[in-house]
Amino acid sequence: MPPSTLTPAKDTVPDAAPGMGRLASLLDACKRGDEDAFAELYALTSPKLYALVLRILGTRSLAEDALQECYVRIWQNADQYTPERGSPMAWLATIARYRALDLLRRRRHDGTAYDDADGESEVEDASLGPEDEALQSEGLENLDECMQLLAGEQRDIVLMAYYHGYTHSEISARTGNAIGTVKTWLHRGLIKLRDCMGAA
Amino acid sequence: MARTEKPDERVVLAGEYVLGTLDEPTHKQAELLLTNSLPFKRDVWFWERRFARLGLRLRPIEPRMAVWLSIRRRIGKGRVVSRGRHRARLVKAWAYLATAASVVLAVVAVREAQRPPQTTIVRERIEVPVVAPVYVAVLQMKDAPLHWAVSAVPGTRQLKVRADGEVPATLVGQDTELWLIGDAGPVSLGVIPQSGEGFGTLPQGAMLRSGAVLAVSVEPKGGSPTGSPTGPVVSTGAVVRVS
Repeated sequence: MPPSTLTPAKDTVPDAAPGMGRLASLLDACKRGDEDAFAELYALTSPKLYALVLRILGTRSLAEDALQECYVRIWQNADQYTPERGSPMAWLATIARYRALDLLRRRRHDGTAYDDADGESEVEDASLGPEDEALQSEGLENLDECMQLLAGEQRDIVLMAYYHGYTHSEISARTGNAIGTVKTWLHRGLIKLRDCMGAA
Repeated sequence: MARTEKPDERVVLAGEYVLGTLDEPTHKQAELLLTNSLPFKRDVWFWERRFARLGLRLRPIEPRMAVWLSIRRRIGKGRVVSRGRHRARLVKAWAYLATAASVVLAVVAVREAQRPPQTTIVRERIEVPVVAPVYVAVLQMKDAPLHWAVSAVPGTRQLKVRADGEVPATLVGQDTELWLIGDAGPVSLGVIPQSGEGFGTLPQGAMLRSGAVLAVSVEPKGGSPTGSPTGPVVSTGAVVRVS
């Protein structure tokens, strides 16, 4: 398979998992402006998304701002969701993370000190909830397996970037490695992940 | 951007873009590429889908209800239904109700159990008359296997409340009171049972609508002596319209 083809048939999302079917139909109703569906979507998904933005931002007030921005964005852009973007839950998590990173960058840009006291080891594994069955049906749980194939420093860079949005130069400053080295590690790590997940 | 001509380079750029490691000028270039190149867009979606796993494996945490109230306020702007239209709908609903049969609806609520740390779906079946707009909520106690199913049919000011599950020791000798959290603060809907069925009352002026938040607090026997919650809030939940 040529590496450029990253969307093999198995990646298209079947409407199989019940949790996911519910979220997909709620998103569909949100596209039509159904506020009731939106309220239910919020009730079902906000604890997961809040945990993510809190992990990225570290403080409750920032995390609440990010969560608010995230759901306003979801409400406004529900029509942009397509199964090609992943399960509904994966798409929602992507929106939540980008909103949190936006806030984080704005604060860094303003020169507001941000001290991330917690280390990557604090990421907690939770068993999958019913709404996550879609992730399993997509084979996404193999990210964990594929991450294990990475060298320690490659894995650390991926996690630092995912949970903190650090740039190459910030990672370089934080780890004490040359920026070229950071780029090379990440480059190789991403190719390894792509080969592992794309081929799985 | 010569970098993106080779698929491997493009995939890496997409991965870096999603992770957020690019410096600002390169990030902006990638954004531009995203609007022009479908293959690059697909690569970005590939990484977004895959890395979402990292974001979703964290232990769920319930946000404060103030967040939902702010969101609702923001999205609800300019979407107020006029009283006249609402009244017409109620009258129509009553006409239907006269001949309506009953249906069973499933309501889904999320609770975050303290241990084990995972989200549980509570499916509550509530029997309601068909046709009229019906609002329901399921309120799961935060740290006990007890929940309340609340349903309300417009046209009455009564709320049917059914408690299911085990009454925890913390509630023994205490009453539980239901509240509608409005913009002006909590409004009491009455003392509700801890087992079996009971009824709450929606006071004049208070309206149930989708996205409204209900809460249950622990109170002395007979309910809050002050008109506001005095004991701990043991459950909150959003109201959902189901018909």
